[in-house]
Amino acid sequence: MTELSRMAESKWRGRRSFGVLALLLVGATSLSACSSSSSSSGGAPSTEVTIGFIADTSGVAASFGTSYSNGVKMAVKQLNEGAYLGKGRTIKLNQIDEGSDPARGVSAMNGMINHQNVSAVICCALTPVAAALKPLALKNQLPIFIYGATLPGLNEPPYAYRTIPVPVDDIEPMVTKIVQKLHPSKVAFAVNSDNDGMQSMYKAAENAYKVTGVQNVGTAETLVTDSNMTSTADKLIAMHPDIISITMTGASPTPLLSSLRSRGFEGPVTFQYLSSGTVSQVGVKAAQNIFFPLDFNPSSDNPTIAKFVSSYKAAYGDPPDAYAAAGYETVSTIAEAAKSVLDAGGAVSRGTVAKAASEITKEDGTLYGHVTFSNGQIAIGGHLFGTISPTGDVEEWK
Amino acid sequence: MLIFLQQLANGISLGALYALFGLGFGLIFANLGILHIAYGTVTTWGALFTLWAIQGLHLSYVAGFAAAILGCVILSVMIDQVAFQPLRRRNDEMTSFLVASIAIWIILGSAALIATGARYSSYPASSFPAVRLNIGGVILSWAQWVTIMVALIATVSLELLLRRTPVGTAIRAVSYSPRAAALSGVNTRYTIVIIVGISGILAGAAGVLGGLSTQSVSFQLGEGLLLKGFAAVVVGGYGDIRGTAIGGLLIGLIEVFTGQYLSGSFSDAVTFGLLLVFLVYRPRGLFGKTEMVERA
Repeated sequence: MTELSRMAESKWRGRRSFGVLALLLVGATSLSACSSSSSSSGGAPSTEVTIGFIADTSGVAASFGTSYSNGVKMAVKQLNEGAYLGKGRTIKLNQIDEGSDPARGVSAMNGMINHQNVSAVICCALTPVAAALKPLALKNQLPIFIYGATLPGLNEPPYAYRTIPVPVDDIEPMVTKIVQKLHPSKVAFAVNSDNDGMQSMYKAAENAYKVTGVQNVGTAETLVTDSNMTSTADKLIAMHPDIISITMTGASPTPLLSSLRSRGFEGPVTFQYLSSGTVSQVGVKAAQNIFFPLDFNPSSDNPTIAKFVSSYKAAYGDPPDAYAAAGYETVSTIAEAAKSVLDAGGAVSRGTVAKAASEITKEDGTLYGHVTFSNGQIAIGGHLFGTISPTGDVEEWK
Repeated sequence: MLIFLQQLANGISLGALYALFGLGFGLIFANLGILHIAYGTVTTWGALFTLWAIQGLHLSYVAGFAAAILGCVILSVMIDQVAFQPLRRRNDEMTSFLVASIAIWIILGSAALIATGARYSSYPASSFPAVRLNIGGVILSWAQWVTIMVALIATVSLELLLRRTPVGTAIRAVSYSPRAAALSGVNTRYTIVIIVGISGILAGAAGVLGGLSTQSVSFQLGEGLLLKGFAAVVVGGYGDIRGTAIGGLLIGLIEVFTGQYLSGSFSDAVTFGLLLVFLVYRPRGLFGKTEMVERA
């Protein structure tokens, strides 16, 4: 048989139904490119404290999951270089990517549970992933430290901690400040409808504006995976708001801001988070008149923060954002728990780390300044809010 | 009324992007019998080629656009010759091509993730004209009307190429029966390269215009287009250029109007509900031919 005839036979022989092909296509696209790194095997020496890291460096959360990852890695590097745990003792990271997918997160978590050297796990940019992993952590008594995931109530010591401030706590003070300083009379909202954390913040914002007497002129709902924001921007602008509140995660908040500005909306826009790439992506002009919580202030003259910012810039090129700071602080908290165990002459294990972490009530010199821990949840003193300066830098909104 | 017209314009623009993608995706499926799911990732690379040409090499947007076209043509031909040609030679079935395409998709997707560092970028605002059309209060950005024009030109050009030129005759002959085409003097392998090259041109254009329309260039850009482009092909009809263009427009309009008048939460559900309806009740689409479905 000639190559030609074989090709002809091949082409027309497969008589598959289109239904099957469609299912294959849909199923296949639900997979995502996977990546993992630095997985350690058993037999690690006792001088190593192994931390499992279930990262979000691919999938819908990759844009900010990478910032978390950078912060985590920088903290491990700096703590090891400074011999934080003591001479000859190091922290080892056992990292695997979960692709922003709860199912892959569960698989990764089971791997960590079976890896006896892992004393604690860091994870979860997204609420659905954190909600899937937390029960496993509790059941298997493996301490989990959540650096993202905005839904309240994910903390449950001694085996579940959240090492970033609860974002919903910032909303009422931010709305109060906005109303006092900007005097909006009408507000419109943009929110991800498929993310519990975003929904809880949206409802808090909606309620806070209602209490202050600002008229709610409507809401535009999107999905986390949506990328084309032009029609959403037009929908919001057609509501004629004085201010737009964006409570969205994933890749879409920045394009939405860009679309709003390019369609002529120059009014104030609020975000729950600001990614480090937002200003460079939309341009300095479009990034004016935006406001966001500033739990981590990269422009602070605090020496700890200044050192972190300069080290981060040197390592990754961009200034760190709140996600990077959260990753850094999470490792620092686990390291503090491990150090207290070692300093007391104990051995680092899941149980001892959990117990030590539950006894941490406050920390000084963090990237958030002085912080307290209550029921496994970090809390910072006061609420700062940020904006973008005319030169494109993040600065405190005073 | 104005918001209706504005969203109509947005829907046409978005649909034009889906149509552009669907034309390339459908061209490979209808003529080579390959469900090329890596096509979305080729589109992603088109957007990245332009980004690097503009940001790294400081080229103009026209040169950046050309870089995307050239890069995607080369990439598409390489994929075909490396991954698909050996399967053709081995007389493999359609499923093998699908598996090979999945492998290419994962490889190229991972490479894009590594190359971008998972960062989202956008084309510098200064690199593209900041012109906006304002027609009675309905605003069309430069990216939107260029997308509509490019999709229109691509649809007409492809239709003319396939129906009115010797190359188009050869493509249709190879599509119908490679053996008969070869016996008639058609160089089948060369013709296949032409088909793949044209799909590369369309992928490059869709990538650049997708990056402009969403104002975001990322390693995931093409993934969003893949299912919508596939839906455009199914709704319009396999192997029908005009049908694919109309299918793309329909998908874009449905998506935008669902977001405006129902909720953005339901856009995908409505779009893929429509896809399901077509797959079950009218698998040949609006304009496709029955024999095309049977062959596939």
